Amino acid sequence: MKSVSVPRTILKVPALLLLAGLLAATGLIASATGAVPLSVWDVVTGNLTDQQMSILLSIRLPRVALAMVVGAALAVSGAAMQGLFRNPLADPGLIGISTSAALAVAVTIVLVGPIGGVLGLYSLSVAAFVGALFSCFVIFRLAKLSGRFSVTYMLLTGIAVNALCAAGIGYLTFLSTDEQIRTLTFWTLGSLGGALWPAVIVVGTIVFPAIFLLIRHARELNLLLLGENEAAYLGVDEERLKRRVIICAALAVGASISVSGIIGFIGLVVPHLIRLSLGPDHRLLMPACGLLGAVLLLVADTVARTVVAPAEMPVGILTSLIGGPFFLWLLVRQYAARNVL
Amino acid sequence: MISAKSLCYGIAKQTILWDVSAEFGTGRISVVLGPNGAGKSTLLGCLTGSIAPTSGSVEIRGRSVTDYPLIELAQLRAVLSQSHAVSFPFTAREIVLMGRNPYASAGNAREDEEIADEALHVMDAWALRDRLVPSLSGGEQQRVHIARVLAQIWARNDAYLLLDEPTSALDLKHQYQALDLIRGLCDTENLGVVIVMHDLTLARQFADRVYFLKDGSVAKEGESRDVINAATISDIYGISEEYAVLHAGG
Repeated sequence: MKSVSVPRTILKVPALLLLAGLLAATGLIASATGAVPLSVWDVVTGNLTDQQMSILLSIRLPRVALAMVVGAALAVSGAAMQGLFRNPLADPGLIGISTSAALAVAVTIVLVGPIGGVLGLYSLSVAAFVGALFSCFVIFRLAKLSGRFSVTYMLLTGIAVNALCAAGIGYLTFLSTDEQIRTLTFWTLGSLGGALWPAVIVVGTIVFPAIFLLIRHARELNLLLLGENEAAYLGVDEERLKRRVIICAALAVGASISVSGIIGFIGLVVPHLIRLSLGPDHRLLMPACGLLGAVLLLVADTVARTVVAPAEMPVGILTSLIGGPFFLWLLVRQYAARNVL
Repeated sequence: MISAKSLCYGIAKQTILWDVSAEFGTGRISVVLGPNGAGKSTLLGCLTGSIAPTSGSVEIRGRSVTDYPLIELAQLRAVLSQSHAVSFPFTAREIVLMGRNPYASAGNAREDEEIADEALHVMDAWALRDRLVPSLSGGEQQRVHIARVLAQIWARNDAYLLLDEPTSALDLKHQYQALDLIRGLCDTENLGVVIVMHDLTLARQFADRVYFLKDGSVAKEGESRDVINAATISDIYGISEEYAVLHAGG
């Protein structure tokens, strides 16, 4: 029998430092890249003209920051959901968070119509956030009815919520005008195009505490992988843990979706990559996912806004385009090696 | 002492346990035997507190199991379930270290690691420590999980160990090794052990007290040598005396 020896504990600090360094470098390069190219060195030293400085501060930086926050939120929530469902294929979409957000956006676009003023600027964001939390609320109510907060019930409820929301979106699409369909479609493709500082600050204040809380439960999520009863035997209040993970993941993903639309595969692929290289321990997995998620979405967004300049490609297309085949490759590789996930 | 007082449990009008009372003390091995579906695992579930009985109560050291904070309970008793499929690629050592979770707040990471290594050693699983658990055979996984529950109550006198078919996948050598070890802990650390098992030969050799469960009730209980005999086996399992004799031992 072959022996699989992984000296993981040794990797912990260097791995996180390496990822943090990678994030800083990507952030610098992304800030320098765009319609008006800047030199990385000038960005570091601040040796810029007033015009360049204003581009950097009010266009590039908020967008870079938003990509990092959203990428981290999606990846950490994905890792947490996979731990919760003890299934490496789970992601926040599984319990209907993304679809119900999309339904709320569709309702706003088609039934409410254009809204003026400040409210109009943020109406889709607010709708998406409320929609995402609504699915979470439905799942809690139903779980309470079933008496026990079982992940199987949550999963099945999620499937039902997804199906219902998809039907709702379908019906609204049927009712809508061409213009409305276009708005809705672009929203579901995902984009960080609307990045302004207020959005970054609002999303950041929701995402950072949520990620922090999720990472604080890393040890308990490890124990949950032994089984729900086993975790309880080892002193974990599994009901409370499940509630907290769902709420934090819904908040982080809901806030992200509200500014970016639906961006696929970050939440699925990033935890996989980290697990393959650093192992499944959530205490390392989740912070590493946060960093790598931020890096990957930042790279994808930078490519999305430069590759077809002056137009912009929706970043969701790009993440799915790269994420899909990559995910298939992972599956094939695992089948081929008859390896375990 | 873990005492079960008139436990009843039913789901969907089907009675699983009916009026089961028993006292499981420290310093001895109590074995619960019985045919499939007799309610053995349900009884164990009630003793751990993970299953709430329809009526009746379970007390540990005179205090209801539902009154204990989970962490306190986790320091008092360890539980090994029948199936323990871990599909994520943890190493054996990482799994055993999870057994030290109840003491995480004490912050003695080094001591926890030493205990985990000791537990791996005594379960003859030291060579498996860096292997990924999903890639281990059933018996190897079982040894790792036994090491985990041993680590959980390591060096805690008067603690309890509740095991659901702990030796089902082990080969003969490891069956005896595990049960010898547990027998030793009963004597040196006054451990209270409750084991659900099917192997009558092992039960006869290692049990101090035996409970035969049938149709949700205790059909027979007593010292193992008195109770495990051909007549009882034939009666409980519904097999002929001829076969029963083979399992009754000398």
